Amino acid sequence: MSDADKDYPVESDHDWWLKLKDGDDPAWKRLWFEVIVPETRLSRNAELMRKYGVTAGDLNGQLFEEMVGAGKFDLYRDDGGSLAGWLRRYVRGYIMRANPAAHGEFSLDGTADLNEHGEPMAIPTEDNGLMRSEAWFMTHLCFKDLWNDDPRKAYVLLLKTRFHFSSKEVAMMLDISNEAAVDQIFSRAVKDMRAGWVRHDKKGV
Amino acid sequence: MRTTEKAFRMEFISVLKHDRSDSWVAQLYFPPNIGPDDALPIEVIDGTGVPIATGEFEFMGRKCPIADGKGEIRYADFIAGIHETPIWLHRPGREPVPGGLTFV
Repeated sequence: MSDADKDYPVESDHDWWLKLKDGDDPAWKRLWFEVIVPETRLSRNAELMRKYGVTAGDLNGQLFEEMVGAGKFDLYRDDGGSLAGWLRRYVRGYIMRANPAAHGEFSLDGTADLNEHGEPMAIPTEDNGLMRSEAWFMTHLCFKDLWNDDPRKAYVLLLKTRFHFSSKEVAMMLDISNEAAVDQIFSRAVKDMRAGWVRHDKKGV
Repeated sequence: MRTTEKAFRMEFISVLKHDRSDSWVAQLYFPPNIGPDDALPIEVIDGTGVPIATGEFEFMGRKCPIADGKGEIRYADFIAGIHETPIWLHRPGREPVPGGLTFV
């Protein structure tokens, strides 16, 4: 998205927070420009992101999973503190924890480039520890439920949260009548994901 | 109906099978700026990372031949079946294996 896409309303943090929880498209677009983009432009963060192969889209996806999927938006106190500042702390945390070697029992730094057979050693591109985490598992479980309920909802959720397409673009790509219809499908998808999370959590999955 | 200027891939994965070579992972590639009659390339590998030599990918009710891990589906056909869940990989000598979209 370019600066020309900054066509979202700037509301109070309270209203913004409520809309983010509901998966409102303009609210998430504002989050992109006021939370994700500023963090990715900080030189230290940009350097770490380059080093560990993290994209701004990855950060947005993680934030969505944690805030909406895991319901962490409810931890925001809504007492006048900056919502953007609160969210940026999470994003900074994702970047700091992106080092794949930091989750294992050894460090990749200083290890040999070749294995004992003289073959090049592959640097892990996925954090398997994180992949196995409960949040990740639950997100996929809920997404599978969403797919089984209505694949179109799953496509809309994927396109908007993983690939950051606007409602207009999603409408054009999936042949949906208009942007409002996309927003409605997206909103229902987010609600279904949250309901699925609660349902699976109660079952102790 | 048209894709945007940004190319992207969607990933579909099969249900887990005891024999990993029965599982599969498919990537559906959306090229930039294509219309309904253009093709979306599909790449399919099995659970061990080997391209599917030959088979049929049943995608949204349409059967797409797969050879050397590659196939394609018409963009309009993909959209026509967007409410359909069954996605299957049919391979000679093996049971068809279903799968679905992943959030990656």
